[in-house]
Amino acid sequence: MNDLTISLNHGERLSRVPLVVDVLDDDLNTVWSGPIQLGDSRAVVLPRPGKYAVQVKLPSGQTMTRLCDVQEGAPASVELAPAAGSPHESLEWATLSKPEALRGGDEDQLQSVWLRLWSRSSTADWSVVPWTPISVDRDPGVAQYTFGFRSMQQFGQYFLQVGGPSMAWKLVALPADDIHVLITGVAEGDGKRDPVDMTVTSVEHRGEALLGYMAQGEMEEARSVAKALLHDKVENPTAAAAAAYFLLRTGDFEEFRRWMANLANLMQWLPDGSVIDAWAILRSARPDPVRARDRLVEAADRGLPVYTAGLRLLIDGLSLFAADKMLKTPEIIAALEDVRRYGAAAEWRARTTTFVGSDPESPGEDIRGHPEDRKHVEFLGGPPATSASAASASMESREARPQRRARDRAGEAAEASREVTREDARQRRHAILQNPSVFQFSDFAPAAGADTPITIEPSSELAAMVGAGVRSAEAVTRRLLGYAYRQGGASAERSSRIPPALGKLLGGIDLRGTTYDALKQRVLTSLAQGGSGEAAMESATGGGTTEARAGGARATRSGTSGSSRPVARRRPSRSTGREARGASAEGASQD
Amino acid sequence: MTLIVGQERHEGPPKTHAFIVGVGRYPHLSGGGRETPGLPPLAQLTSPPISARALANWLIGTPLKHDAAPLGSVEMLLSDAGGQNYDVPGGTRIAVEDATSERIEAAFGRWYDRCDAHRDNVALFYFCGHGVQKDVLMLLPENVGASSLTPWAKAIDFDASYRGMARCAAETQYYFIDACRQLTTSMLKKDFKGWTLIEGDVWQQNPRIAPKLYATTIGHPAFGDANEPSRYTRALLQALGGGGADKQNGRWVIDTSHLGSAVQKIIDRGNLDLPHGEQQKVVTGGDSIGIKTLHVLDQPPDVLTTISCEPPAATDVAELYLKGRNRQYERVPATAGAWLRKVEAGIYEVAAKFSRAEYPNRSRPDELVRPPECEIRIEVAP
Repeated sequence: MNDLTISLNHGERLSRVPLVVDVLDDDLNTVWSGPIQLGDSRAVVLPRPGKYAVQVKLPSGQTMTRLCDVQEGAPASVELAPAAGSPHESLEWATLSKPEALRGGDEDQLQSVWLRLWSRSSTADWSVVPWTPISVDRDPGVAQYTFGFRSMQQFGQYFLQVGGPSMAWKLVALPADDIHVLITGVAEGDGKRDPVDMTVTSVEHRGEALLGYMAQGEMEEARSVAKALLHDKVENPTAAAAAAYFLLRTGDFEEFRRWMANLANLMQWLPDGSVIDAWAILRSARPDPVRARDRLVEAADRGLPVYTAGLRLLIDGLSLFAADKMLKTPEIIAALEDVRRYGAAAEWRARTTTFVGSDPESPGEDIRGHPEDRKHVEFLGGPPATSASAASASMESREARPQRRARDRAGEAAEASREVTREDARQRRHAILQNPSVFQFSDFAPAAGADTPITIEPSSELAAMVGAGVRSAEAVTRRLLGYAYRQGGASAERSSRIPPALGKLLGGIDLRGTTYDALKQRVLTSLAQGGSGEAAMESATGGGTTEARAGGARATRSGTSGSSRPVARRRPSRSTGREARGASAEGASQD
Repeated sequence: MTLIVGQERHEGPPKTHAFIVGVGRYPHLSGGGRETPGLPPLAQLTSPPISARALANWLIGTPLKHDAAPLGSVEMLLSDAGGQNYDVPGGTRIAVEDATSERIEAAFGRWYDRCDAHRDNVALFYFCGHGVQKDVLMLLPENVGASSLTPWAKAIDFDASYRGMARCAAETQYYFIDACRQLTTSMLKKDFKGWTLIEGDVWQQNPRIAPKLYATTIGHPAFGDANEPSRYTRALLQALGGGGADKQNGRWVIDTSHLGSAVQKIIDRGNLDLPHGEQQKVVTGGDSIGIKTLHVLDQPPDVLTTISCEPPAATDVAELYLKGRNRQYERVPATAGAWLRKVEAGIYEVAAKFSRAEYPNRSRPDELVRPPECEIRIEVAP
């Protein structure tokens, strides 16, 4: 017997993460290959004595190799420590999956951004919630926040929003797991990238290791890791979803069919489960397209998949059914239209669903600066002294930043007195947002000169106005509220005329010169004349505002609202004689 | 003519059928002579037809070695301002048809029929040219923009086409997409749709191993030097030539599992020498069910290997040696800079020797040199 024992040392915090290990003979034949978990040992029986190489493949694509001589009858052992070398215990995962993060980052860039957390309520409303990471690790140019959604049983849908003066506000889906969010300042270089790089990973890191292998295209390695995960009883739904996505890609999922269905049935807060089950139904030995279609609609109703792979599968699946004359339904068309808005604004290379947007319901809206309301906002460089660069602020050059900071300091004293008034208004806005059953636009427009304030009660009057069910009314209300909320001290407070931007929010309608009051009156008049609520809204506004999905499941914004403005990227320039096949040609001329 | 090798119809045992498109000439884009107003300023290209020919040369000239599915056909379309001719390795000169949407559609149909004729066929799809990405990837044929009223009507919706290929019986499909995946400013506000090479069918979702290998990630360009094969295609050819090889059952093979990661690593290595704006990130995707062999090497692969010393200054004055069971290499006398050379895959003893006493001689007995590339650093600090 020629035994070789391979041990992978666990880290201070990381253990049970399965890594792929190859054992090669001196002719580079693979004599054994399989997963070994951090903290475990594995005895491998070798065909003969001799020289062998033990190679650990990391999810980052890097490898770690040890060679050993195995003597006849003498057990040999090799010990490797793939998780060693991290400056912090909590960054151990980066040694496996993102080693470049261990080199630190650009502190100035990091300090230019802010963060906040969005959560989806049981009524499908999104709101900003308190910023409550359970720990923060900070190094120059690197910040890592740890959240404990799973350990605190806070299952649900979350988006992390990040923004700054030189980056469009971006939303990153956070799994309802115990997770690290690593934010690294990106050296300016050619100045054409976002100032920060973001990575979301589970604290236990098992599912992420699998996704890392998949991203590397190491499908065979990923297969063995996925099976190791699944046979170890995945208690973590988001890790289970990661494994399920892999199984879908491999087609090797028949034995896990019931488990996939349970993921969809039991984890309703995780839209990924429905997407996974839909495709499993479609790709199974006995496909049931009708059930698959219903699952896809269900997924779209539940929200956005946490993983980008799920968003891709959702769009692909809906597209497939939308093109089928027999199976196409209004729900499919509506869902596809809605999800495509996110697809157009999505960052497809991100591991979790990521898109540019002002809030989780407004993909594609390119806003820079910081939010007017700073409640629950985490500024990595400390809160800005003035609101001058809020929301609508344009991009600020790096050169101008020191001067701005100096101006900010000079203006702090004057600002302090204004702050009292502003804080008062902010508190009132916040109170309304906490209890939006009844609100008045006058709350947002207390200034002199406002027209007669109107009152909108979402649960009754607005529902009648829209006529598509309470959910639709809520959606409209949310947009009205959201708009007023974002505008804060700007136009909504100074005038009761509805700014054109609100028209855009409501679906691309033209509201120029219309007051809130006039809008309400036109809607009520139309209703009194016997029109349907939805038609009344259209009549009152001169165009489509919201469209209700058949069955009244939920309202979707019409395609013109934000959906036609996907991520605007600046393109790198090209050197002389170098060709870029695509839009970079335009970038060259623009740059 | 678009069929440069093989028969019009598939007959007999399984074969590998390749579909290759290289578009450099775009008459309706910038510099094309018949520019359509309102289109983004996408330039004329020289690299795509050269890249397409390079891949065809490799498939035909190497030739592709696949025991279960040898090369059956190569269907190629080119749009080359320098001429449409293609010299078939060991054969004749062929005038290849233009890569217009109509001709691509017709050639694709013929290629599809051949692939669909046997479940063990291997379908290879390669496109090199302009690409734009919004929620889907659009591949641009020569005549994109032919109509100013519907400028994007000729663009090929690759994502929909990929979905449609689930109808094809060929269980092994490989898609190589060498195109940018950016969005132009002028397209941000437009909802544009192209056409699909093959429509999807909910009822026909055949199991398939169908990896996609994109030259670049979404939102980024893919690069090629003028009048040279593109960076991605060079890396692909390097990987097919051995950089993507894995030894299985005593044979060095290129398979669907290792090819993509090898191309990624080769491009990543090249990125180290490039400014950020010109770096490229190859990404994989698609359905994949297990491993399928694409090519078998006749001999062990050569691995591009970099040998240097730590501290780096020692590299310039070091004589470097690699001694393996079958092969030996040396860099004598010492030369400035790291030693970059192709080394046959294997286990080597590596040594650095110094004629002056500034650094101690060092050797390591066991260094694994394995595809796709290898970097060896010898610590010689005194």
